[in-house]
Amino acid sequence: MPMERDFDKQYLSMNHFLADIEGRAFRMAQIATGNRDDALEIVQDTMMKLVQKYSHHQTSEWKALFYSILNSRILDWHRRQSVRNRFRSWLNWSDDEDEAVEDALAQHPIDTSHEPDIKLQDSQFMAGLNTALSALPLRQQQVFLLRVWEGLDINETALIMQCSASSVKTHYARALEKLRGKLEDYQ
Amino acid sequence: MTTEQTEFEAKVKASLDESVLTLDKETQQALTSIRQQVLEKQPQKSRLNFNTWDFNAWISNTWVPVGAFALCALLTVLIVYSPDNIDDLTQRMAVQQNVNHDQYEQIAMLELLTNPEDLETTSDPDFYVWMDEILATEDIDNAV
Repeated sequence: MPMERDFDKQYLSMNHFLADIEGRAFRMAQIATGNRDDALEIVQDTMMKLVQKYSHHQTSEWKALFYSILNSRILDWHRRQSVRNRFRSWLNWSDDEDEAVEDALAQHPIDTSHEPDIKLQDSQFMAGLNTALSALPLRQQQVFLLRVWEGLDINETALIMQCSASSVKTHYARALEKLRGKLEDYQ
Repeated sequence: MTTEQTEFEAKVKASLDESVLTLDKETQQALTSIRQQVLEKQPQKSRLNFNTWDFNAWISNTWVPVGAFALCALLTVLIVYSPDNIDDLTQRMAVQQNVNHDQYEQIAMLELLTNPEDLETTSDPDFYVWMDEILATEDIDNAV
């Protein structure tokens, strides 16, 4: 049956695509959330939505769609965390009146228990990079990773981030400046 | 971009790539498992997306909810506008109108008593003289 063959071909293409991208997606989600389990959940949701809604799209469109969904899921995660943190800070108001409400990004330390084994000579650079990336504002972090890691151009990144090309340039420049400043000592 | 920036970016990229290659086995297995689950769970959906026409799915997904809604709307209209209900409604309106007619004079009297201007008029003697003249004129007209 031709349709069965098409389906098998699509299935294999999607499997290959997801296998290639899942590691980077997981690391992006992990850097953004600072939590392995949450990162895995975000990757699962992203894969599920891509397969359910967009698998019939052209293969060349999958990457942009995948990262668009991934960034959206990460943003949702931060919004939920932000609400939870406000609620927690409200509950603990009497105990810690002077404690300032920190940025949601800064409130989630990296879960080092599941960090990759660092065996490289410049392991310090990798550790510093993780910390510096996690400390970036979410939009800057996403733009930087899409541009540097995925090699997407400004317009593709703007499309995924649903913002203008000039915003992408601004976010990227600021992220680069901050990272260079923080990783100076490791270079 | 300067050369220094390019080198920095290349180093960042290499470091990030390395972090994926050195993911722990547990995480790698979890990712593989997630991928397989996602792909295996959605064969029907995928087949539908691959331009395969599934008439039963289309009927159940589209027309069953629409049909149920239309049926509910039709039943509601039939119940509200059934002949029995229309008769009841007409009767109730008629009764209401009668009650209004009976109460009209009482309300007029009440308004007369509560209105200070009308009370002044009725307490003026000239008013009664004028009323007599009007009544006398009406009697003459009736006699004619």
